[in-house]
Parts: sequence; structure tokens; C-alpha cells
Amino acid sequence: MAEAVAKTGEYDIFNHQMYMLPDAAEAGVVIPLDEYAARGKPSFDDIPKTLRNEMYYTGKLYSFFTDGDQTILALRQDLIELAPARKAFKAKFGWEPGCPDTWKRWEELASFFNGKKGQNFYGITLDKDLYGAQEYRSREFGYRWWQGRYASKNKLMLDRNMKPLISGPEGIEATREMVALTTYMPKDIFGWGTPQNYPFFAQGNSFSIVAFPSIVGYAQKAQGTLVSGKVRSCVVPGTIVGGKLIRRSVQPAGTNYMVSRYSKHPEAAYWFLQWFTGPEVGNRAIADPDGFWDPFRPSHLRDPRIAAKYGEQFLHVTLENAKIAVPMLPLQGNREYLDALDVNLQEAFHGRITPEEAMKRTARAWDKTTDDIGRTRQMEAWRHVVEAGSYFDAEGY
Amino acid sequence: MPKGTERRLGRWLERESVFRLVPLVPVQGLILALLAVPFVLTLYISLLRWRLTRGFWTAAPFGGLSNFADALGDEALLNSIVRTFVFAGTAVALEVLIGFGLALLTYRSFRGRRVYLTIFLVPMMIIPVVIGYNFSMLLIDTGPLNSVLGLLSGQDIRIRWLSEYRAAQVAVVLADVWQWTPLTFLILVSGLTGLPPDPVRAAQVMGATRWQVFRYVQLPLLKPVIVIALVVRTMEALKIFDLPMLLTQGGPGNATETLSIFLWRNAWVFNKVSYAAAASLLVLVLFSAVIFASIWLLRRERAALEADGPRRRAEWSRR
Amino acid sequence: MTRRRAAFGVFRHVVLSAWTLIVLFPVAWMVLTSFKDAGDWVSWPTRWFPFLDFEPTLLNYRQIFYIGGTTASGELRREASEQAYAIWKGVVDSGVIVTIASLASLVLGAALAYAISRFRTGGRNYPYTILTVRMLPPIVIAIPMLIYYTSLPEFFRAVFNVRVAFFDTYHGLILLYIVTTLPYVIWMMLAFIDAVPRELEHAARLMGATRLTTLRVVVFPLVASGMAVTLLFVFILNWSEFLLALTLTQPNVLTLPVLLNKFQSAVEGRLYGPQAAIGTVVTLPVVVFGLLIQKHLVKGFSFGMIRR
Repeated sequence: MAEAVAKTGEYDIFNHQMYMLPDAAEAGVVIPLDEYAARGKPSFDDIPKTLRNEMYYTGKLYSFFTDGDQTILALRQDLIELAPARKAFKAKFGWEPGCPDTWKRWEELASFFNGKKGQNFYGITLDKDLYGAQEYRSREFGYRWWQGRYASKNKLMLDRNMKPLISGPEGIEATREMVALTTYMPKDIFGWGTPQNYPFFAQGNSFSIVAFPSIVGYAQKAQGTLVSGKVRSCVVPGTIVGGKLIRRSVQPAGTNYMVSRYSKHPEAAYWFLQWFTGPEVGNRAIADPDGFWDPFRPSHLRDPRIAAKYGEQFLHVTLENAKIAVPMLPLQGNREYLDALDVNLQEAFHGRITPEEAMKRTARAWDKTTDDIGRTRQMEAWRHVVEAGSYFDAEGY
Repeated sequence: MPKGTERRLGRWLERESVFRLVPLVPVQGLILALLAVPFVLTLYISLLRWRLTRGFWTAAPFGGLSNFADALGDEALLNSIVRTFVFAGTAVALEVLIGFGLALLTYRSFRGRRVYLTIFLVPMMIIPVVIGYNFSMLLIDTGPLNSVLGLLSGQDIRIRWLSEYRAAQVAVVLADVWQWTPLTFLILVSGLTGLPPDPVRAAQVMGATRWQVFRYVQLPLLKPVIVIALVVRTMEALKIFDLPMLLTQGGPGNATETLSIFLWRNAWVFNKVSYAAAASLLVLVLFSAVIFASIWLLRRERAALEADGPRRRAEWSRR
Repeated sequence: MTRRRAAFGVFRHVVLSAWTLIVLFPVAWMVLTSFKDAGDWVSWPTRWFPFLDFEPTLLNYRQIFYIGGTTASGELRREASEQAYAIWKGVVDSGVIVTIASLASLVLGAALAYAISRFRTGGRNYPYTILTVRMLPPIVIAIPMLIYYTSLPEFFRAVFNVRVAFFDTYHGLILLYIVTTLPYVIWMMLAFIDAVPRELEHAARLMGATRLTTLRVVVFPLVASGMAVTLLFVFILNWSEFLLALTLTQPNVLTLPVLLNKFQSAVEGRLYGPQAAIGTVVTLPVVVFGLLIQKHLVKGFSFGMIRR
């Protein structure tokens, strides 16, 4: 955002996190690309709808999407396959252990598949403590995961007047679930980012993790991994709302490309991006053995290079997750809204306030931010988000 | 340059009234040119209602004192101020105490002194960003630091330095102490080394114990040095940013959100530039209390020193 | 008496060794990490000993010293996002900026300190008021500074009809670093210069030396060790500075702290190994310089707050 002040024109293209788009667009640092797109006719058709929406702000095309970073659940298949464990689990919870449908079932798995060092776990002796679950819980991270859970309750975060809905029963439930699951996590996880979470899972310390999709590849081939070939990818769990199972992943980071307002060659920048992010080059980048872009287009499934890199099972799952991905509140000032959520969730995670109180405080802060930014402007932007279906058919508008 | 001009310039420079001002002009010029304008800009921006997402600052609407009113009622700001002062106070106190202790043990020559001195100064020479990353590995609850503590105590130590409110605050302070004790140590060693030997010897001749020498001779002589160590470190510690940012991003919750992080978030993450400007000005007002206190202390000590000036100079010329 | 002295000697070594261990522990960890591959950076259990716990590797050093950027084969990288290994640029930029800024600050500050010491330039309170410059938290002026630096070129074009940039340039950062370190230079140099007897200067002046010559030939040589000490301190402050560099540069100028902070990868988060390798490499010269002037360091760091 420094470019909004500096206006150097040194950049033609910005590569940023997806959720930066609304602020960048409002600041006028990036330009709408519709005019060019009308001529260029880029192919977005096979990008899942909600991810495609993330390229737009208030109905205008601003950015190119390159990296499907939606969350995924990874499980230790080797532990699930222990026959006595399966039997005991089924007897206890009444379903065959495997990829869980609901958050509740993930918690059941986590409560079962854990143990202490030296313990005999259904035929194998644990050589270290085994934790049931891992999920990002630290400052700057926890709130991102929360949004997927909340979305699976099929509720919008705001109504048409930008009144927060998060303090309702759905928001409290999502928070409570996250608090409950921490029972099965390493205690220190409240301070961990990726550099701690990834190796912790890859070194066989935990049974399951909801993380960025790259966790699967990391567990498979990172230097020092102990779980290579033992990990199964799962579609993220969901919630049963009105008899229907609703699963939602969240797009916690992911990168996009935008064209600078101060670029001397905006059109050239556009054409470059269309070529660069289009199926041909984009797929090559995703297939690059050292690449970090994650797959998101269904056509990625048909690309043998990508299939070879990731394995079919993971690919199917992550593309399924791409179809159900929700964005991180694509509104101006989203990082301010979400920071309030972040801080209050932290307090709730640490048991310093109740989930109800956390959500109530967050809602109050959101209202204040909305008034400060300008309610009508935000209502307009929010209408675009809801109408485009970025949160599917979530209720509350 | 023609010779005449050069000579005239030389003569002009020779005049005391000119010469004494020559170094002052560029320094003051630089300070004014570089800091005065941004400062005035800060003042102006604080009166606007400008977010980075709301056009360019020249076009932002005027908001009067509303930002200041908001800032005064902002609990997060007030908390971050208190937190910063507590962090800085604790860290500086520890740094001066430890630095003083180490200095007392090292200022005289003994075998191995050079080695100790070399090692003790290393932390302040490492770039804080590196220290931040380094400590974020060391501080994991099953990580190196707790392992070592466990080994020493014979118990299973699981202090959650990065993830528990109080422990994270302690961790930030300790990291700061680790990095900056070298500076207070250096200042105090330097002071102790420079102490005149005569008063100490005189006291010893009169039969003073080691403690009495320290308490009634060395300590008073050293007071100004302690003051400067305090002032220098306090000025720097109040700005603490890199370490908590890299270790905990201000978390868990807001447990380690220092003032600089608060202002950083508001300006660069939330884009609330005007608000951040108003908050920083309020903070400056608050800081000025510290600034004036420091200046008052320094002046008092310097004045006492300068009263000694003639004697000191006489001594010099005797040597 | 001798026994007590011996006991004190033991006590001294015990305490100092304890602190030595505290100091060296993180440093050793940094060096250790610089020889570890990705999976060993953060691990359960901790990997302590090379060869026993982990296979030491030079990969990190090869990565940071690789000249020319990306390798096509991918041999020197763990993943594609690691391509920005422009450590040389960081070293050169930081080296140039910090060296020039520190030297300029030293010369300006020393000259002013001389004027203050001998002529009370700026009045009695000047040394105190200038300290306020240092007390200003950089974040307070970061954004106005950015606005200022980016609008200055327009001012220069309008008034002097010259094109100069300040944002994202060497001199932009140098000027700022000079100003923010001047207070310390003045304070430290004031102490050294105050200690120089005026009689020497008077003698030189009587023999016909100009004021400048006196300063150059008599005063500065006498405080040379003090200048080295001051230089080291100011150098360290500038060398570590992060916030202002982060705000006021990009993409042309890249200092080491900013570069180090960029060492993040999409998959592994922080690249601890290369970071540690850089940390080790760039700390060494500073430590060596400190070692060389150690004798002066332990005498000259009292900011003049001592009765001699």
C-alpha cells in the first residue's frame, strides 16, 4: 500500500494476497481490467465460482488468480488403518473412521487418535506423544480458519445493512468448536505459524491438521518427514444445517496479480498477466516440482504433469475444496475487521472470555469500523459480494 | 578559486563567530529539512479523516480533533502504551543491573578478560531481525531453551514462551535484555575503567572495606554513567518493534502489542493513517514527560561534572 | 587475604562463564541452524549435535552466496518461491548506506561537538534538545516521511528545475540515518573532545595554524580512538535499522534487515536456515571490528559522564 502514497510507477504488476484487493482497489492503486478483458477474453470458465469472484471488486475485474490456497484436512491414514483401532472407534462412535463429514466428527477422531509416548496404541507403541489435531491458532492466523467454520453454518457475516451477524448462535458455535478442539492440540500451538505447524505434522507428532493444501506435499517429500506415504487428504468437514451437510473451506492466503495504476504500460502488463496466469503457463507453474502455486482449476486434474506432482487423491480433494472455498471478507478495511475478530478469538481460545463475549465484542468493533469507513459504500460492496454468490446461498442478507 | 577569494574565505572562517557556527548550520539544516516538514505533515494529517483507501491525502476531508478524541478513548492504544512502558521499564532495569554486575567483575584486568569482553558484546552486533527469527525457534515449548532449563532443573519444563500471555511478555523482555545488556555493560565498564584511582586509594588507605569503597566512593562517582545508560536504553526500548513483531506478531491476543506495533498496524494494515498520526502525537506528548525527565537528570549530572571542570583541566595539564 | 582473592577469582569466573553461556546459547543456535537443512530447523525432538542428530549441510551458504539469482535446475533451492537470493545486493546496499551515513554523521557530529565544547555553540541546552531527535519513534514519522520524500522531487523540479528522487534511493536513507544518529555522535564525541586539553590547541594556534588545521592535526588525532568507538556504535544502530528502511525503500534499494525479513517461503514459512547463514556471515565483520577496537571501546563508552 506504500505505492498509494509513493506513486513511483516502479511497478507494473502487484503480486499480493487475495484479500488485499478491496483495499488496493479503493485506494486506487490498481486499475480495473474489464476493458482489456473484453478484448483479451481470458478463460476463467473452469475456475470455481467463488474463487473467480475473488478476482472482482464491486463487479469489476481487478486481478488474476493464480494460486488455489484453500484449506484442506490431512489425516494419518496409517493410524486409521490399524484394524483394532477401527473396530474400537466404530464401537465407540458408530461410524467407520475416515475423512470426517462434520466438524463434530473431526473432533471425535481427534479425541480417539491420540496418545502418550510409550503407550501401546492398538498394536503400535508410540515413540512420542501423539496429538489428535492441529489447526492454526496463533495471532494473525486463527481467525482465517474460523471463517471456514462459520461459513459452514451457512450464515453470512453481515446483513444487508452491514450489521454484524457473527455474534449470533452460529458465530458462537464456530468459536466454541474451535476452543473445544484445542484440547487435542499441542498447548504451544497458540504461538505457531507455518514453520512450526508443518514440521510438527510431518514429523509424525499429530494425527490430523487443517492447513494450506501444501501441507500434503510437504508431509510427502519435505526433508526430514516421517509420514511420507501415510497421509490422506480430505475435503474439509462441514456442518449439518437443516438436514443438509454444508462444507466450506476458506481461502486464507493465496496470491493474485493486479495491474498498477501508475504503471507506464498497463496494457502490456495486462497481456502479460493473461498469458502468465492462463491455463498454459499457470498450469506449468503449478506443475513445477519446486513451485508453490496450488491447483484450483478442474482442468488441473487432466494435466498429467500436475497429477504426477500431487497424486490423484490429493488433486481430487483439493479441487473439491476449491469448489467450496469462501473468501476472507472481501471488503474495504477487511484487515481491520478481521483483526478485531482475531484479537477476540485469541482471548476466547485462551479462555479469558467466553465465546459469546468474544463475538459480541467483535460485532461492536465491526460496527464502529463500518461507520468510520462509510456504511453506504460498504453496503454497496457487500451487496456485490453476496449477489455474486461468494458465500454461496448463506442466509442473513 | 582565485587566491584572493581563498584567503578571504580562510580569514572569514578564522573568526570565532563564524567558525563556531560552521558545523551547526549543516546539522540544524539537516534536522529541519528532514524532520520538521514530516512533523508538520503529521500534525496536518492528524486533523484529516484520511485512510489510504480514501484517495490521496491532499483530497482527504478535514476531521478536526475527532481522531484525537477517538485515540483517547481507544483501549487498545492505552493498553499498548502501558505495556510498552512496563516492557521498557523492566527490560532497562534488568539491563542496567546485569550490566553493572558484569561490569564490576570485569573492569579490572585479569586472565581471560579479553575473551569475556569480546563475547559479551556480540548480541548487540547481531541484526534484530535475525535475533527475532532465531528466538522464535529457541522458544518453542519443547524447544532448545526449555530443554536446557529442564536439564538444569531436572524437571520437564514446558514454559510456553510464544503462546501464553504472561510468558510471551516475559520472552519479549528477555530477548531485549539479551540483546541490549551488552550496551549497558559497555557503558558501565567504560565508566568504571575511567574512574580516577586516587579517591579509591585514599579510601583504602583510611581503612574502608571493599563495600564501603564501592558504596561511598565508586557508586557516587559512577552515578552519571548509570544515568546515561538508563537514558540511552530507555529511549531505545520505548521504540521496541522488531522483536515482538517477529516473535509473536503482538500475540497471543494483544499481549505483546507494543506501541510501535499498534501504530504500525493502524497505519499500514488498517490504512488509518490520520488516526495513527493523531495517536502518535498523543504518544509524543506522553513521551515528552520521559524526555524531560531524562534531560533533567542528564543536566543535573553534567552540571555536577562541570563544576569539577577546572580541577579536571588542571589535572590534565599536570600530566 | 590471598585466599579471599582466590575465592573472588573463582566467583568471578563462575559468574562470567554463566553469562557467557547465556550469551552464546542463541548465537550457537544461529550458527548451528545455518548448517541445517529445512527439516532440522524446527524439530521434535530438538536436533543438537551435527553428525549425531543431523547431517550438517552447506546448502544455506551455497544458496545465499550464489551469484546470479535463480538456478534453472533448481539444485540450489528448495522451492520456486525461494528465488530472491539477492544477498549481495543487500550486503552492498546496506554496506554503502550504513558506511556513508555513519561516517558523515561522525564527521558532522564531531565537528559540532568540538564547537559545542570550545565555543558553547547552540547554547547550553543544545546537547539536550538534540536528544529529542533520537527519542522520536521512527514509526511516528514513517508515513509523513514517505509523503515528504515522494513529494520532494516535485518541489525540486518546480523550484530548481532539477530531477532528484529521495524515496527508494541511497541518499534518501543516508540523510535520514545521519540525522537519527547525530545525537549519539554529538554526545559521545563531546566527551572525548572535552577531555583534550586546550593548551595543545593554543600552542598550535600560536604557531600560526588555522583553526581547521588545528582541528585536523591536533584535536582529531587525539580523539581518533574515540571516533572509532563512536563509529562502531553508530554503525551498529544503522546496520540494524528496519522500520525506516522498510517504509522508504522498495524495490531499488534493499538493506539487509529488510532482505532478511523477506526470507519467507510459501511452503515453509520462514526460511530459518538461509536467514541464520546470513546472520552469521554479516555479524562476523562487526564482531571483528569490535574486537580490534576493544581496548578503546571499554574506555570510551561513558558519554563523558565521568569525573576524571
